[in-house]
Amino acid sequence: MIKFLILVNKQGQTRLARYYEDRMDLTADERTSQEADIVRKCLMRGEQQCSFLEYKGYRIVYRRYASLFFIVGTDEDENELAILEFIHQLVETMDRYFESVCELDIMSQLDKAHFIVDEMVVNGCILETNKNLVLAPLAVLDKS
Amino acid sequence: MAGMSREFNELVRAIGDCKSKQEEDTIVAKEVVTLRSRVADREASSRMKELVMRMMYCEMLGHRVEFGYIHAVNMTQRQALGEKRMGYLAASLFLDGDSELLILLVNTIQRDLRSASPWDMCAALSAVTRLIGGETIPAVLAPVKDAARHPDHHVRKKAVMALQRFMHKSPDAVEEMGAILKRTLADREPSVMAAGLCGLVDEARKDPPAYANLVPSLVSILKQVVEHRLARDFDYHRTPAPWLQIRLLKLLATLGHANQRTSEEMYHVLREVMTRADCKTTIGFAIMFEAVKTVCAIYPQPQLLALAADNTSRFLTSENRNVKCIGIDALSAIVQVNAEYAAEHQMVVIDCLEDPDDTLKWKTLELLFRMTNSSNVVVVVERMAAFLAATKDHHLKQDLVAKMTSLAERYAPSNAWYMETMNLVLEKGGELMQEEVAHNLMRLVAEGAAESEEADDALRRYAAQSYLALLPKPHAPDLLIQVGAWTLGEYAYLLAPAVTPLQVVDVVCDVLERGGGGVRRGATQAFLLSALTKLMPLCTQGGTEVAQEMIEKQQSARDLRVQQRAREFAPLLHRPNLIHHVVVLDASCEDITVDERLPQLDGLVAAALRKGAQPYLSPRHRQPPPD
Repeated sequence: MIKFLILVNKQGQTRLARYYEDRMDLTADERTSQEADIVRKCLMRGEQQCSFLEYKGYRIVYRRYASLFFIVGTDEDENELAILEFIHQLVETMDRYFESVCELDIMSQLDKAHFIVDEMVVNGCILETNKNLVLAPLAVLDKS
Repeated sequence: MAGMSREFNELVRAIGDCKSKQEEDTIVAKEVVTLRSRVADREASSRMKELVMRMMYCEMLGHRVEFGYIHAVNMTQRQALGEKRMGYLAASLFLDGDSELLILLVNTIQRDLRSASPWDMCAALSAVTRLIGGETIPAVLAPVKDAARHPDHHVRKKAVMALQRFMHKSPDAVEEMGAILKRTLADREPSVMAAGLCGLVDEARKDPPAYANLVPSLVSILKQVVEHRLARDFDYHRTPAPWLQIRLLKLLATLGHANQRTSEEMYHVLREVMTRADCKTTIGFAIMFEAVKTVCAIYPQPQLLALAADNTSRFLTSENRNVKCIGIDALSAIVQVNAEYAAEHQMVVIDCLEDPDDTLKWKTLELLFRMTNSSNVVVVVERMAAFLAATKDHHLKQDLVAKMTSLAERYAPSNAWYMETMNLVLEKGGELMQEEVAHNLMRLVAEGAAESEEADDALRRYAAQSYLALLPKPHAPDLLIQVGAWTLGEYAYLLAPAVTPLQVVDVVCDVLERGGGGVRRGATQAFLLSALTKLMPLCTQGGTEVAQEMIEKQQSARDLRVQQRAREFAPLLHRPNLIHHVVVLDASCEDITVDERLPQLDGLVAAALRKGAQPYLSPRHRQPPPD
């Protein structure tokens, strides 16, 4: 199960955060500190190292696109290579919608970015990966 | 950004430009103040969509905007799809299952679930999968079930996921969940079928036999997918619906596990999946990995296993770091079925252990754990010990402690090695261990290994020496101190004449004085106090004033166990002739027999009766008290 999906830039600033479990034990501030902490750990890893790490009982899979890290935290049940490629599919889908996505796009259209993520991951499961189907509801929204 | 106010664009720019967390905090804090006044002014209603989005920003960056939640909830009632969706999105980020505002939201959700517009329904269903649970399920269950049969596939897909959410929150929430999920398997839309599979994975794990009859359908679906019978837009870089393949493989693994008949129904398609998986792409390897796991999970077929093992080699020889890393996981799966497969990859495994990449090292340790036997346990545990000393991550430490303990208990080549290893684990990870482990260790020392008395004493001497060295260390965990204190109390005498009892008493006093410790502190102090009491009678040359003072002081200790021991020991210290009866050397394994009639008190009772005391009446014979 996917426990969280976050986009954090290399300075540790969160650009999008979706959690798929109740985290009652963390305050909003603690959550953002944790997000920055995870990115720091990703940054400490070199090019030669794999895109996976362990963090506080979560399996982390991450991919970097320019200044932005796409980070997914899962339990041990998930297929890490599949998550790695899913991140890429998410980015390709965002690319299509925003026409070559960049950090600023996500910031100025945070709602749209969320809508894309929420079509693709539901209940911590990868649900929809067909780009046309992911973006169809957004097309309806933009027309209205 | 079109349609947004200058304020919004400035906010985005400011957040984007800021260079530090403090700067960001200042900007967001100011924005929260601004929003408070904006939501109250006249223009608020027409600008609410943007205001809600700005609130989302604040929450995402760590600042709560409770005053804004009601506005998000109210926005869901608007007709315009954009505003409705923004309202639901914000509500799903702001609220949790306990929120009182949820009741308001449920009303809107109920309305939208009956809307003529499938997009309104979808918006509501997305919110349902994020917010509905427990008490709110009944309010929406019926319309959601209806939505699972809606003509629009977007609606059906989301409704099925909503039902899965209900089952997560409350295992009996949806009575006919099994039937509904089976129906979705036959849905003409692949996405709806995929949604059903998510729920099926959960339900099948609870009761595999109940879903075994689905295997032929699942096999057929998987076959169609790998043979490219889905529309092209389900492809990812020419691989057909990889995540769907992977979910099907997971489900098959559950249904085929320990079930020969169902496993036989899947061997053919598993072979096909593995053959078609494109090992020039990462996604191909992802599918291959899942297939290998499935082959290993189900009833074994030798040729299929051999194929899986062969394919695992391709992982391990790949240039791609990620693929190689997962190759170790694949090997872990294979060795659980047949340890011999690991042998041919020994060199690769050893290289991975030396690799600077912690993740790779970690996964290799996991592999080694599964491959350990009595001939390699010493080497494996050594590696784990190095990792344990180096890691600060609490979860990793806990995992290592459990693994090392398990391996030591199962494969220890000698008692001395077992003790040395357990001491190391106690020292580096004692705060994470179960008490049983400590008890096992103490029992080993007490009972010996049923070898010669000399060998047993040698082990005890070794134990006493180790703990004498370990106890004084600054951050010794509680369990370590407990085992150490007990061992020294019982067996420090074996260290004479090189180490006198008084020297040991001094060490124990220091540890007692030092304090600290966590939840187990009271028990630890009790152990230390008991040790002192056993050791002090051995100090025939005196010098125990400090220790005596300590015991006397502990008579007013906060922990009752400590207090009790201190109060029992203190008077004994002044009666040297009695103490040797209470604190007997090397008698920890002897049974204490107690005559429950306490004949030694008969004289006392007779004397009291003679003086006129009332004789004892059992409860049956006593007069009832006056009402």
